[in-house]
Amino acid sequence: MAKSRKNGDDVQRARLARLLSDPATYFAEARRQAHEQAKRLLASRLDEHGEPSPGRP
Amino acid sequence: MGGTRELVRATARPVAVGAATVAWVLGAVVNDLHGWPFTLTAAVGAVLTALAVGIPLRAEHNARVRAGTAEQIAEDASARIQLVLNDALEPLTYLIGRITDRRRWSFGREAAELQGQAMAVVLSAAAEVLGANRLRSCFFARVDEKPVRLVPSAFHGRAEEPRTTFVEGTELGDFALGLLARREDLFCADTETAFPPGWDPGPHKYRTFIAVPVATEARQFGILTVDGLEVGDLTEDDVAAVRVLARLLAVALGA
Repeated sequence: MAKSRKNGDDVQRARLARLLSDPATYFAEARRQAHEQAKRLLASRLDEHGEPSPGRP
Repeated sequence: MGGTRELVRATARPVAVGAATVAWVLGAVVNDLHGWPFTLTAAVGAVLTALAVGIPLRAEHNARVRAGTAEQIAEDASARIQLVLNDALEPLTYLIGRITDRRRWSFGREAAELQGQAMAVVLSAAAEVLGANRLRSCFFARVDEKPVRLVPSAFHGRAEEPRTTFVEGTELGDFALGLLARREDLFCADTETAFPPGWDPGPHKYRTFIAVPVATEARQFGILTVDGLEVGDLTEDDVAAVRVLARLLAVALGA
């Protein structure tokens, strides 16, 4: 089933308002989420290959 | 399934060590060795067992460290792409859409306000998404009155206001204006070893910087810079992201 994501103009407006009101906090939060997502993606791609990575405990 | 695999992995090493040890002990017992032949066999067997087990263990440790480093690099790269695309470029392109949506007759205060927002988004993104801490981004606006100048107009990041004005007719000013005219980028990895002509270290605290033109094909608006306090805070790989931000800022300012 295709996955749809709500990302319309109202979402963009709210996001822009957050960015403009406090850019440092906005990007700190974005950085944290980006790393969490990257970690998840990487783990799932490594799991696809069966063997757990030797780099992970 | 994962538990079985982990169990096999956990027991493989002691089983290997045990088998290697039993092999030479068994050999010594079967051959009924006593005295110094047994001592010699035991000593050599112990050394060879240690080598047989230790060398692969060392290689496994090295592989583990390298794999961990590679995963960290992959994670950082993936997070950074997401940060640049999702959290910086998407709101910026949305904002540019709003600027270009304005009807021509409504240009004026509202357009200037939206362009100011685009400037704030670009400066904060340039200072925040490249990875290193305490980066600073600055916009130097081109002033066309004679002599032509690039004056510090806005900045984000470290609380140190940019002070340099690049003036036509000075070595550094002509160099900066030339970069802008030719739409060239500049990456300075270390200001103490390679610096632009006419550069005066003066009170500058930063050791590395990127400078890119804010221009469309027809118009020049100024220069966007990002600087860092330590060598290595910025790399050649960062230039492309700053260049895209500068190009989009030029589109916003020119709309």
